[in-house]
Amino acid sequence: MRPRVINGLLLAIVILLWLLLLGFHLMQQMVSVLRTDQPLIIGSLYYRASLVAFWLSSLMLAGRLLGNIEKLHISGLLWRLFMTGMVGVSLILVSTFVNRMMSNPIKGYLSAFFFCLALAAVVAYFLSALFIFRRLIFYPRTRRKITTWQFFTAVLLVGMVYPVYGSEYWERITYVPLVLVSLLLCSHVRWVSYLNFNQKLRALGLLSLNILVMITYLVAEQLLPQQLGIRIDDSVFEVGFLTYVVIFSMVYSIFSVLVLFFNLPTSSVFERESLEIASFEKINQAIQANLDFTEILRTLLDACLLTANARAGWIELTPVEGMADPEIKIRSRISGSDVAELRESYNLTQKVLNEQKFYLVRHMGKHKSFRNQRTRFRTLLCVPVYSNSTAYGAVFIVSDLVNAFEEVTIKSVSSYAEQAGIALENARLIKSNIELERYQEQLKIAKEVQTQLLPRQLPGDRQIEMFARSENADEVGGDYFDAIKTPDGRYRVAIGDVSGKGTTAAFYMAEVKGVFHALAALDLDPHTFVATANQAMSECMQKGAFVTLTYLEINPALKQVAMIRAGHCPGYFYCAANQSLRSLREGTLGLGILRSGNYRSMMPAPTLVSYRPGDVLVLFTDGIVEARDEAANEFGYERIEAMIRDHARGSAGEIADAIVNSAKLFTRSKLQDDYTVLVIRFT
Amino acid sequence: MEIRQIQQEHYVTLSPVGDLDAHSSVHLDEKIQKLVEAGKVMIHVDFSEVTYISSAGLGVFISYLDEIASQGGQLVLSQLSDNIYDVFSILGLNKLDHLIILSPEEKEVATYFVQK
Repeated sequence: MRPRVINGLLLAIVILLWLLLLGFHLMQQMVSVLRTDQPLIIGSLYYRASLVAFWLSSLMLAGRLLGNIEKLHISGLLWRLFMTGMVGVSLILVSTFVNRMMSNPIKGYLSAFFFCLALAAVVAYFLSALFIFRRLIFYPRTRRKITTWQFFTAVLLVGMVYPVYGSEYWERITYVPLVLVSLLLCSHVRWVSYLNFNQKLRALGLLSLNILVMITYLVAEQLLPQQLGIRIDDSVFEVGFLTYVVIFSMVYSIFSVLVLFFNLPTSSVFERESLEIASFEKINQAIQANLDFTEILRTLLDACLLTANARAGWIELTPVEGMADPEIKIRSRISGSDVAELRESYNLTQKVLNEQKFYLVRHMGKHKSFRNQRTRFRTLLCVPVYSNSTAYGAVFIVSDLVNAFEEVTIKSVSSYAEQAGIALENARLIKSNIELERYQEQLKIAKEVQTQLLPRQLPGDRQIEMFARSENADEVGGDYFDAIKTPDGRYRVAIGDVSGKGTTAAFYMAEVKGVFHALAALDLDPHTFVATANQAMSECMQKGAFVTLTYLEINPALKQVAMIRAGHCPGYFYCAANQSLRSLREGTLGLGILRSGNYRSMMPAPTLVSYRPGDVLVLFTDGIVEARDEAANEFGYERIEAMIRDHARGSAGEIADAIVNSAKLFTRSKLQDDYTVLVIRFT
Repeated sequence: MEIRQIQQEHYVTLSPVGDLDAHSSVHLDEKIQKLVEAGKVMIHVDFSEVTYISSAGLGVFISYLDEIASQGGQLVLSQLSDNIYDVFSILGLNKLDHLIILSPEEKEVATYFVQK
């Protein structure tokens, strides 16, 4: 069945039983009008059984309605309880008043009705009280409390049987455990300590009012039957369930009132503590989620002001790299000019940051630096905000009282500052990490783009085999190589190196590619080619930047190479016939060095090399030559020469690999500079 | 990096100490810029305590060549180690009129300025 249906059924049963009781009373009235010496119907076993049934069903109904109060709103509950009580009290007052006004024939029946109403009101009130106090006792719920309560309920149920099988023996047996268990339950007043001062005061008032209601009921219980002229057997109401509930409610209320009263003075301390905990939590949350420096600092200042009960406060920051704005101004209840004035007297921020310890001025009027200040403040506390790696600044709080900050306060403020330091550090690291990731993403893209700038495969034919290996020290670099085959079967080849490395070099490298391709299409002689390239590069590069380049034109028809070395590190020509190695040192200035017109006139004639099958031309950039081992020795030209001699019979790829691998082996790690090796093998 | 600067009779001697790489060459650049701006275009750079020069270091000298030439000045580098001399000569810088690169044996610098 649904809970609502059960509740409805229970309510119906309660009402029916109440009507039954009312019936008994009316019958009694009827009988007593006729004959006064008739034995009391009200004392009969039927009456008593109905009464017990009424109690039991009311208890069950109250348990269903009030047994599961989820949220504890103490003053609300007590207020409702009081209002319930007031309904009963006013009912009793009205009934006695009406009773006096009425004439005899109706009076008796009306009294009976009023008595039953009062009974219902009393039952409703005390059962409500029972379950509300149960909720208070179960704050918080523990296994032991539940067991105690179950025992208490058992005693109550036993007490319920009393009116039916009542004897004094019963009474004695049940009273002792009832009192014991009530006292045990009364010790559970933990809820009091969770209230703040105002809530305690309210609870105290409401409980006192309820005690008054209870006393009214107790008095009414004694006087009402007499007043209403109802004759009842005392043993019906004097002991048993309802009495037990009344005793428990009274004892618990009085006990709670006492506890509340004595806890009033200390509540401000607890309130402060809980405020501090809340502040601490707030800062902690800021640490976990917040990336906004201003917000973290604002939280810190608010927490400090609240905890220290300070008059005003502000935060001074030192410039920190990565912080959005080093000039963030955070202050509370103090003007910027006042802060500046105090700051002028004594710059504490640097001092506390250096010492990593707070600085307290107990009496600014007596402090050598602040003595001459016309400030309304008397106490000043300055606490550094820093992390392991960074000094962020300091938080200042002031009070207009002398020696206003106690040790505990300073400790709290210091721990807030510490937490804030961690929060700032986290925020900074996360921010810079995000930025770094973005840069890395950009660099990755740049690397991809640059890789596409270099030819994936070099041209060649049966007589000419070309192979290049190139790698950058950073994501992007300044090495360049390229080769194109002209329609008439000649090859134009370039290997170059832009000064510097990284992004700047990479941009110029792209520029070099543009120049190479533009000029290679024009069928220029090597001389003009290099001179024009110098002019083009001079115009686009910033002062001090330059490009070294070796340009060659291979003419397979003549089996001849014409070469101009423009500042680039000299390559080698290996002659297979006499196994000789020739360093191609003849050359001119790198591109972009001489930006005036003299460049061309200074250029020597191109170096001409005639080749035969088996000969090898090896070009490279200085990343290979200047590769260093741990002792800073250079790989140098001799080792390159040796590698060429050793591998001259191999393919172009084998020779290039041999040189690169041996340089890598030499440095024992990755090369520090961009490197390129370009091998041309004539077959 | 430490760069000593001595005012000679007809020229200024700069003596950088250590590696002339991307970081340290900035200081040399500032020194030379100040001199050139002040019209002191007779500059001698003593390489006796320079152990290494990167392309950024070379860039410093290259970037003032035109200006020094146009003001009729002279840049003389002396006491270069073999390695550093190679770096300059491979780049072709030894072929310029206004940049004179002396071999380690040549220590007499003054004559190159007096001629002018």
